[in-house]
Amino acid sequence: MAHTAIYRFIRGTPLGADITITLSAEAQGIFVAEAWDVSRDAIGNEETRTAVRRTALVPGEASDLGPATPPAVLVVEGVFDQKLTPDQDKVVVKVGDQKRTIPLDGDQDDSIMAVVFVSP
Amino acid sequence: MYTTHPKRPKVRLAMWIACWLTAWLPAHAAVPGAQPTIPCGSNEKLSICHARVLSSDAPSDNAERHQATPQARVTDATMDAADNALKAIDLSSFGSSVSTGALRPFLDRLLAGINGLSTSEMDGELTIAYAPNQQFSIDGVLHDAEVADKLLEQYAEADRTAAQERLKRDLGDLADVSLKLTYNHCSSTSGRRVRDHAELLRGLVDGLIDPQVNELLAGAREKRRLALNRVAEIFNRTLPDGTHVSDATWPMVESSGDPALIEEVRSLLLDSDVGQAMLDAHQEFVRSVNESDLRHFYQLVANQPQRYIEVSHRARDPEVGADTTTVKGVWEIPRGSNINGLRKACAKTSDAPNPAGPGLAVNLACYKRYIAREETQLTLATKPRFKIEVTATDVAGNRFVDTGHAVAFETQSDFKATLNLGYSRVLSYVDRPAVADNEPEKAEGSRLDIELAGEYVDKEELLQRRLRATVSLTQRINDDIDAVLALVWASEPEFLGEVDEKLGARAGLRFKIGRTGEASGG
Repeated sequence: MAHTAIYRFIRGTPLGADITITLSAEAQGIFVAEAWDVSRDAIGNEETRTAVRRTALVPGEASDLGPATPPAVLVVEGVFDQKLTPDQDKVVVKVGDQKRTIPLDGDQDDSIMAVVFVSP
Repeated sequence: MYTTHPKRPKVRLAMWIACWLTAWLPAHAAVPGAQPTIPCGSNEKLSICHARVLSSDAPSDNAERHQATPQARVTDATMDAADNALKAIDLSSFGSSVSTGALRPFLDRLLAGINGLSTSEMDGELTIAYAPNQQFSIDGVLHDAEVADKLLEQYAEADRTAAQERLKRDLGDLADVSLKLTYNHCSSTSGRRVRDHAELLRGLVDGLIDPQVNELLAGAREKRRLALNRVAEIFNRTLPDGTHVSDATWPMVESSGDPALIEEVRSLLLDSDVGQAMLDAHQEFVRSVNESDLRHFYQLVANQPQRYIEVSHRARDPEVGADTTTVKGVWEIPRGSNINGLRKACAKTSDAPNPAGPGLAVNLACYKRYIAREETQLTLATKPRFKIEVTATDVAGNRFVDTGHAVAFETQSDFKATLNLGYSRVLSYVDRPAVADNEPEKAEGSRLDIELAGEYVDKEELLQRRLRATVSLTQRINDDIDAVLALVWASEPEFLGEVDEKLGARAGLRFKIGRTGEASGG
């Protein structure tokens, strides 16, 4: 298992943009989403604060992860109960006005991890 | 020679659905939480939004951002482009043969802005489906109209082919159209929609991933958090300001920054101990999900009671066939364990307050006990359920009459009402071969279906009430073929066949064609 995660990037996110994650209605399985904020000091080197927000994803339901303080990292991971097609198993990550659709077809396994990097 | 009566008003609803919705629905007429395919402005009419979408094939990411601007941005130029696009569609081919080749791309683009609206095409049939939510749906189908065999039989055999071609050419644009409306009742106690149990599922998963519950998982997650934060910081520093990286792939990242930094990212994500901790954390998550029995949650949802109503109408030109109207109501009552049973059992035996809130006193420990019960295991294995189905069908058919110098038709009406009581359960399972490294999957090996039906038939020459009972045993042969053995008893023997006066037997094979089609023979 050399590369189990799918990576996506969202840049140009303003401070405090709301993060919403929606799992496709057809998906079946146990999925969670987590968000970490990465804040640094004035010179931009030292990590001084992180915050974790975590929620279970329900197919067809939008989950609110609260405001993002970029740079931030979102992790979506899950275990499929029934593997469908990439069109059916997908998550839509919305940060502020920007939106990314992530097909959950990363590997042949029955689990998936997707990482979204959010930066200013 | 064939004489036609004035054509009856036709239900041209499939097209009207699209036109009506396009004109009147706001662009975001949608389920809360669903994501629109094309970003229209929140107050933007679809007709305007579509015009804009038609003017650009594949919006870039920058364009995507601009699409959130008000409708004032829709210029005369884009409207002209939309007009030209519409003129380019050869609607004259959209006729007797339902030549959807030219229509399909147009419809795809036209309808893409309406959430829940989709089109599909198979074997010359075009389906327009609108499902704004999982409770209500409308399906309109444009069928590939064919001249009825009974009409062709009125012609001398030598003239039949020419008559068929002439009649088919003269068929109206929408000579064979059907429309179906479906309502599926959904609530926290009825229906099989997962979102109706969202808080319950969230509460259970929260229990699963709580760091206090799983220290090992928490430790691995902390390492992963540090790794990902470091990577985020590197990306933030590496990619030039003003560069918009959308849906970047790994090679794009590799080629867009400092090779040394990218190598550091690679080692963090893939190669180093910290990177490995990230993968370990994920594997811990997978293990904890598998050990929790939470994967059975969807089976419990699928075993909820279900009620739905379907109303369908098929309108055809007289030369094609009969108009048919069907109303069907179905109530499925599963036996054994389901979400309702889980709520009831755990409300009584809950041993800890649940973070999901009052009235949802189902914690993970209680859930696991419920799944481990013998009754639940039996339910999950056999899926027993009762079904009550009421169907009423009215067929306004045509009988063709050779008057000596012409063929005319007379309309005749048939009515049939049926009450079905059914029971079904799985009898055995077989192992499907494993895909890749996954566990072998279970597939239904054999199933039992019992059905008792009362029928009322009112045809032109027949008025009858009859009873029918059927017992079917279906044995799986492979993924595509089932063997079916059925015993049928009926109060009116003429519907049975040859075996006995009131008892018939049928044996046959049922095989799937493609993914959706199904046919049978015996």
